[in-house]
Amino acid sequence: MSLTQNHVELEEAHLVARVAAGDRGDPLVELYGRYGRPLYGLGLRLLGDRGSAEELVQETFLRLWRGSGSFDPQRGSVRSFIYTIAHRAAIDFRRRTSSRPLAALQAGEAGEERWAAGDSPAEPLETLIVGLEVREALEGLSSKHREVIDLGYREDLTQTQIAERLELPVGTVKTRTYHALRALRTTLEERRLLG
Amino acid sequence: MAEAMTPHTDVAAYLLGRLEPGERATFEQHLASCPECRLSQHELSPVVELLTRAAPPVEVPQGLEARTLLAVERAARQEEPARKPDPVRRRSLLSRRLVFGFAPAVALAALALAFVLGRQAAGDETPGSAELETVLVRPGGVAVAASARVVKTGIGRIISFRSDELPILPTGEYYELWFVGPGDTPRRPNRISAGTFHPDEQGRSQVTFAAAVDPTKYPVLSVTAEPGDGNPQPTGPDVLRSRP
Repeated sequence: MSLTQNHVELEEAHLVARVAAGDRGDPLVELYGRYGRPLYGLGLRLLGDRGSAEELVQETFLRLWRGSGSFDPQRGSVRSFIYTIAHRAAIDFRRRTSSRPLAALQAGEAGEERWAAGDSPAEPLETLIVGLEVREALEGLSSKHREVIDLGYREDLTQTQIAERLELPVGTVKTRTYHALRALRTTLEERRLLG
Repeated sequence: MAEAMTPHTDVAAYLLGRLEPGERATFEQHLASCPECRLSQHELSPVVELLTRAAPPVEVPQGLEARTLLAVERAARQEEPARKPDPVRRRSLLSRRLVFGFAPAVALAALALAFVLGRQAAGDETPGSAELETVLVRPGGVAVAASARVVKTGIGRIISFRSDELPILPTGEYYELWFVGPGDTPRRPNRISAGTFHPDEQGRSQVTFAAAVDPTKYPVLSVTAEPGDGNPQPTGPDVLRSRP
């Protein structure tokens, strides 16, 4: 755990402070821009359907607004604050809508987001969140950068095949891939996702 | 030959496992004697590892942002009972012709927002059929100030706009709703008007426009205050604006 906050964490802490001070405009819009999509993804994985996922996003922001005064930047990041809120909201949601506690979840695409009743949810939830945050970091890349990365993964292509697909010289694809990884590294570092 | 010309940027393709087998062997030879590439390998391997764990792309439903921000706004106004605006007071504020966007000291009384976005009946729209749902904020303002919903019809778009936050303007002036495209500046606007409107005496603006505008090309909504001088160019600054 790092002792100092980086600029992203400081910015986000400042946004939450403004919400706590009564500002429901730009700061909330900024926080939604940063967390809305991964929260929706989390809702889909934890609750299973789009309507529930949407409710989770709304409930999380409601609780964020109500609880913004209790956020203490010394104790943790806005990231952990928001995801903790979302997790609790998801548990409450499941309690309301089903008599069974949050039991076995379906495996995610990669097969590792599986957790059963009785397991400590902390580890698999973190795995889920990391996956969503990495996706969010990818979305933050320029479309040219994201394209060279994604295409190779989606279809397991070589640089030569990617170059053919994109109608670009192979050298361009390789250079672009390098810069994409560099850009991604910066974003992942800022979001404390690189160990 | 190929060894001497191996570009250092190949390290990315190498780490991603995207080099052809022959290229890979060549690069590994290069790596053995290139500190710069070994450093890159050290720095970028964790990135590649995280990439393998990336969730698939998430598609968020249209209007989720607007509905979420409005949910907070509604809860806030229910939980902090609002003072009704004093119509006399508001008019006297305006008779001084303040430029709202740059006068944060103007404390417009919070109004009770009664509307529920997505449930306004404008024809037979159903929630979720909107092409675009958005909220508009005052630049530097402290709350969501307006909402808009765009529904595609056969012949164009129907735009529903709702705000309780816009002050009544002096006679002869009006508000104008714009669809703003990229690169729009005051000197060289790139925006299309959806129409003009006045708030009613209670300070409520609820209007429906029909317009031939493509919100994918002009994705930001804004509201300006305009003098009634017959000049179609926007003259005022944006008093409200949606996010791109």
